Amino acid sequence: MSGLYLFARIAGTPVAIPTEDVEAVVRMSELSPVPGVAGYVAGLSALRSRVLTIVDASALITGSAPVTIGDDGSKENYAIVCDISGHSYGILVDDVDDIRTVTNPVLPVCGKISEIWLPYVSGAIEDQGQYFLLSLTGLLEQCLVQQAA
Amino acid sequence: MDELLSEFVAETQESLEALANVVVALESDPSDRNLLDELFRFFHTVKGSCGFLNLPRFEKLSHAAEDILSEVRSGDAPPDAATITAVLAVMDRIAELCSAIASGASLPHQNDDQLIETLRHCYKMACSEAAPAVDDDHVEKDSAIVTEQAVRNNGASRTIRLPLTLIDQLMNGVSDMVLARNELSRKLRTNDASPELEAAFDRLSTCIADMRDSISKTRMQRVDRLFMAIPRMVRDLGRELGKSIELTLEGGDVEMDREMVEMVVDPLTHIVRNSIDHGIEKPIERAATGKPETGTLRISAHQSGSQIVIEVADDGRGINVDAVIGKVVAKGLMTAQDVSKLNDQAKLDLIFTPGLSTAEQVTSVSGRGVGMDIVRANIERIGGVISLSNDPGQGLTITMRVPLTLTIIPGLILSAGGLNFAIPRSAIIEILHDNNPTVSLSALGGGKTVTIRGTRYSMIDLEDVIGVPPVERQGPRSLMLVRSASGKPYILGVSHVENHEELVIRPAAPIVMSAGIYAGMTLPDNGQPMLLLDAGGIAQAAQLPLVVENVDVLDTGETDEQASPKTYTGLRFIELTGEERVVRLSLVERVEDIDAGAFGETAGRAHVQIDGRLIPCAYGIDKKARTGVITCLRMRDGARELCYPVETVVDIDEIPTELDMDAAYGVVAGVVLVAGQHIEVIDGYALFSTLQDGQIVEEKASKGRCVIADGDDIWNREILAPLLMQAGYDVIWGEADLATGGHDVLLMSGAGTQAGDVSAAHAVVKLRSSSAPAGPDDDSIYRYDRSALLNAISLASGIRSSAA
Repeated sequence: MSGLYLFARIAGTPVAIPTEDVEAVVRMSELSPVPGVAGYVAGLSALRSRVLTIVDASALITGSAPVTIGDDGSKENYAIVCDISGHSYGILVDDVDDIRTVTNPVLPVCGKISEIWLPYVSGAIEDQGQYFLLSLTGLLEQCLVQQAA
Repeated sequence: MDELLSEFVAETQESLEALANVVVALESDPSDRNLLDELFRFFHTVKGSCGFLNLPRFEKLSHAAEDILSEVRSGDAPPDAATITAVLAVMDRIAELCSAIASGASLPHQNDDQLIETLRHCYKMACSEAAPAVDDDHVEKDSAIVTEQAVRNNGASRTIRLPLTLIDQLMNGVSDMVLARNELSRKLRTNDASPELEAAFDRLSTCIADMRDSISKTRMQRVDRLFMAIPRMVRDLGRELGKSIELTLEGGDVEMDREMVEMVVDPLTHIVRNSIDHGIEKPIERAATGKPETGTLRISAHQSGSQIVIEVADDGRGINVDAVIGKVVAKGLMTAQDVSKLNDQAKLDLIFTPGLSTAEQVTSVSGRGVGMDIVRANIERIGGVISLSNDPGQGLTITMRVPLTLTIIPGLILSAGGLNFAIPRSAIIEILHDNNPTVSLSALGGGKTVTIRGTRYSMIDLEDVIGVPPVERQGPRSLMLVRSASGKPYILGVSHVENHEELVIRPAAPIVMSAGIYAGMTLPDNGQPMLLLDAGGIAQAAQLPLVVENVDVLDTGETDEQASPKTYTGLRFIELTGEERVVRLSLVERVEDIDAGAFGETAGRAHVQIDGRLIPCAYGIDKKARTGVITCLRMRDGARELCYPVETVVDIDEIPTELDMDAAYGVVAGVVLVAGQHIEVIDGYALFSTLQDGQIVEEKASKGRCVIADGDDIWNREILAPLLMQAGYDVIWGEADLATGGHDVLLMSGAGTQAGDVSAAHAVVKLRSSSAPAGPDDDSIYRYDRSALLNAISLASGIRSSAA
């Protein structure tokens, strides 16, 4: 299976995201916080006239404290913008590396991967190194699963 | 082809809706040529379109209807009710087929021929019955119709169909433009623009504002659409129930948001249905009560500010409030006591009680009451309000007030914990500052209560709900009186209210909605996204006790016979610690000023010396802090006395027996509302039960006599005897008066006396000086075991007296 993938890093782990899900990658500046919800909801951000719900992927997956944006300009925060079931989201990632077409087939995950990654990873992709295959739809579905639990 | 077909279906469906009214109107005035023409045109169009679309069933049906109508048009006979019904049946069949095509389902197999046959038959019947008389003024009427027709054709505006998504896109585009304009305006302000640039920018601003307005209007729809289905429904229901109803529709040209129309259709239908089913009586009943046999149902719409007011008024029997109350009580939803405290409006509103609707039909007894809770919930969900105005026996008017649109709502921007939130203005009843003199805040066990002009409300701070620490800020906090879903308002405390703005609301993502306190999100003009609070959700999340039982709308205005036994006379006073409390006046013997020096405290028990006696006191007095006299309530529970020191006595008032809040703590039973103030009620039982028996020896009633055998023993004389006297016994030494009474108890210590000598005449209690008994058959009592000793004596004297 060949396709166009966005290569990014979440919680220090390299991931490949199929670009069908991806609408854009934007740099996040100020966020409006959303109190009273799960910690991985980093806040709201306006993208033109749309309001994005910003989800911190690292916090979601590892359960760590979400990043605070706007406190220091030193770190650049990228968000992957996507439209899932009628709502616009921005998925915060550590870094975005590249967008490439990969012709190699998707490989099954080998080795015992960390439990926190298990629900999110559907396979691996090898192209100048190994990447987890990650679907944004799956990522957000997992949000709701976590919430239900 | 597909496109043509779907267009045909959409058009046909739309005309069908519009025509339903025409058919009904035609029935009431069969000679109206205009209506007849309109109906005829419809079938003609359908027949024409389906000819080339290859829809044989449509064609057959419409052809038959057209035939009949053309005969009617040629003036042979006016259509009678049966014919109209048959025409309606054909229209219904066409509608069914349409929706089947639209949903792609297979066409339902029904016998169209039979329908057509019925139609023809009906018409023949009508023809044979019809009088051959032709009105003289028929010609005149015709000419009038022609002119009217011409006007109508010119007046009809040309329209095009657009997909809704396109309109939404346009709307988004305009929002983007507004945001860009705002940003530009900020830049211009910082850069000292030239006047020409300013002028050009102003023009742009005006254009954008105009455009925003007109785009918003594209979403608007005439209320006509809402009314479309009603005439047909009224007609069908009226016929089914054997009722004659005259329907008046007003204000169909008022416009409201398309989505809003869809949200209001169901509640409105429900209300109209109820009105006809339960409200308007049968002609016979109406005649019996002196009303015209034909009931009237008036549905009107008008715009009032940013709201659309829809009124449904009937002249039926109205709501039988007593029957509703009976139902509510019978279902155990409220107690009769709670209900009796409600005022008339609140009683009427019981019709909205959830759970009432699941009851079996209350039709004949109570009037309406089927699913009204759902109607209210639906109206309130879209930020609307529903109210009733009942005139028993004469009719009922139901008023719905709904916002013009769902997507653009007037909202308030408020601040809490340093964050900004929006809340729909329709949810807010009132905003007050917490330093307002009509407002009083109090807290009991962490729960906050606010009393505004005599009404108590639960209160929650928004910071607590969202889990954000409050931000210190100058000035008073704002208290917002907010409607909750259950109809009982509550107070939402926020840091302050910033301003109000027209907000474009978008749905929030499920992960945000799951918090339960947000209704959506919005992008105000400053470009900073903001969350829209859900007033009902907050009440639920905070678990505010908004149950109906607490909603006691006090009937303060009336003092009728029913209300009077529900109060007692109470003495209101201010505690030394400052709280205002009330106690039953009948418990208070008198109020007395007592010198502070007379108060004392021993072993944690307070007492006061009055007239050379010690009387228990409810509280100890800090003698150092208080000098002079202290006002005391002298209380008596019949037997025991108590002194209750207070700061001052306020007044004597009628106090409701029912507590407004049950909060037993110490001597306080709860809280009642008296004249707009909340006052803690003293629990007389708890107060007197704190007094311990024999705490202060008030009078010495001789319990009996104790004979102490050995009067020379120093322990007997100096320790045992005083103990016995203090406990209320008379003490006699030696064996002097043995014969005088049978109640005497003989106390012996050591082995000095032979037990056998006296045991016949006296109860004997033996004492020993060592703590351990001498042997297994030693029934003596250790002399320092006070309770065992006193027990044994009282037991012994009791035995003696009963034996005697």
